[in-house]
Amino acid sequence: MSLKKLLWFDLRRGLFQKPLFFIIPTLIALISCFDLYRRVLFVNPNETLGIKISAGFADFLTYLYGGTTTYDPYSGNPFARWMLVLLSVCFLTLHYPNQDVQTYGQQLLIRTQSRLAWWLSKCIWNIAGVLLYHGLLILSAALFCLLVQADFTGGPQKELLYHLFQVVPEQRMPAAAPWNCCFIVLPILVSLALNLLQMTFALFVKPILSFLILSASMVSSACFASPCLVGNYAMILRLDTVTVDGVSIKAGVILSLLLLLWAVIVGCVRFARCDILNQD
Amino acid sequence: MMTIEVKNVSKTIRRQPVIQHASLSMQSGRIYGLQGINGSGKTMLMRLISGLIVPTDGWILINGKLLGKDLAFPERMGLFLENPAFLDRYSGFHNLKMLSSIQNRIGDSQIRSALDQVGLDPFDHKHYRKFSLGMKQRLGIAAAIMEAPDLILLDEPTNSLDTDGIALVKKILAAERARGALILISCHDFSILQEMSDEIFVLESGQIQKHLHAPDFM
Repeated sequence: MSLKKLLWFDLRRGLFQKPLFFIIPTLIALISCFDLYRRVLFVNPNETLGIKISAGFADFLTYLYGGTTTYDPYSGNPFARWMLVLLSVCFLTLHYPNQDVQTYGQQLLIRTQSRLAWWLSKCIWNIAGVLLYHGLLILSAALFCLLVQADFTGGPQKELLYHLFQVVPEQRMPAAAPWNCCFIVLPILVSLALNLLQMTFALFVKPILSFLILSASMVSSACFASPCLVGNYAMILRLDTVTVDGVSIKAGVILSLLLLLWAVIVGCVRFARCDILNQD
Repeated sequence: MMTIEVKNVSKTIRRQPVIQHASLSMQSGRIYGLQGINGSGKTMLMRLISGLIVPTDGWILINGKLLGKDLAFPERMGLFLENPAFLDRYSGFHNLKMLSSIQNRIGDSQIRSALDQVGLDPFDHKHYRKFSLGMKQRLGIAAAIMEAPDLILLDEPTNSLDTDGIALVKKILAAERARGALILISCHDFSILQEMSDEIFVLESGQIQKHLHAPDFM
């Protein structure tokens, strides 16, 4: 019962009353979609692509969650956009748990009589926040597609993969799997794991340091296409169904779920014995 | 009837000892004072007893139950720590109503009565962010007493209060003691503690240096 009440407080105060949770994903999606639309349709299509082409919903999502096949510091655009998409939500969920437990949430905590309930409530809040963020990102992209009458049925187009992400034919899987939900579910699952990891790290170090650790891991993932670095699974262009030598979707799902579970359990054990002090 | 036993408790934070070998016992129906200069460990001892921080050594028993093992926080506790924080966009009443909804022990009339007791208008719709320092302090005290807790911990409750406010706090604490609550109050002003407390623990560098009983310090 106390978990249900705590969760309601967390969702209300830590999510619904935080306008940035709604504004940031909408802005990122709309700006990125407009950027792609502009690049495809208005920047001299015959010279750039050689053929008349228009971006579909899958292309817009790949533009957001694609990342890069190989890291090139001089073509920073796709890398920066992917980092922005994944790290913005980390930043949005960064401060609330810590601020809550040092202020009003402290009064709620002593009344619930349970540190476990507090931690579980924060985990569910975190998951809800990440899902809301990505949901709005996708919804905004879908609305943009509706507005420009883009195609919703097809997968990412080869010509766009080549011209926008420099995915050369040799890198592309010869019989690329049809566009399916795994392409988008996996980056979201990775995002969930990363956010919960960040919240758990924040029980050991300062929240901002926890964010920096996450950021460093994302940069490493972009630089090294290694299956051990979880960020690789959050890039559609590095999945084995899209590119040759890509990372396995199955491994990504397992690794993300393991990290997610680890974060929840370690955080639970840590919070049961950690000191609740004021920032000063 | 509530009893608290603090047995040889020490706390070290970032290699700095903040409480050293503190032992004390308390029982309901009495007011205990913690006196000491800034940094003497009053707030840390309060936090230890409230269950917010965990002792490095020693143990704390609340009604014979080990704090941190048998229970996470003392049951039926009202806590007021320095600089209380409430929700900016809500009135005093709504802030307290949300807190009380967790345990659901009291209704609107008790909340309004607690606000009235501390000298705040129970029907005032003013948002918390527009409260003065003294009003914020009063709301924090109301939150600590509204559910008629068995244990009341008040850390510097008279800060930012005018003389009327201080008199009000004294009156409230006397009423709570008469009701049978165990009250632990910290204050750097010895004269205020003298007037209110039955026993006073004097802290210095995280150690309890003196334990004074009412006739000794009057």
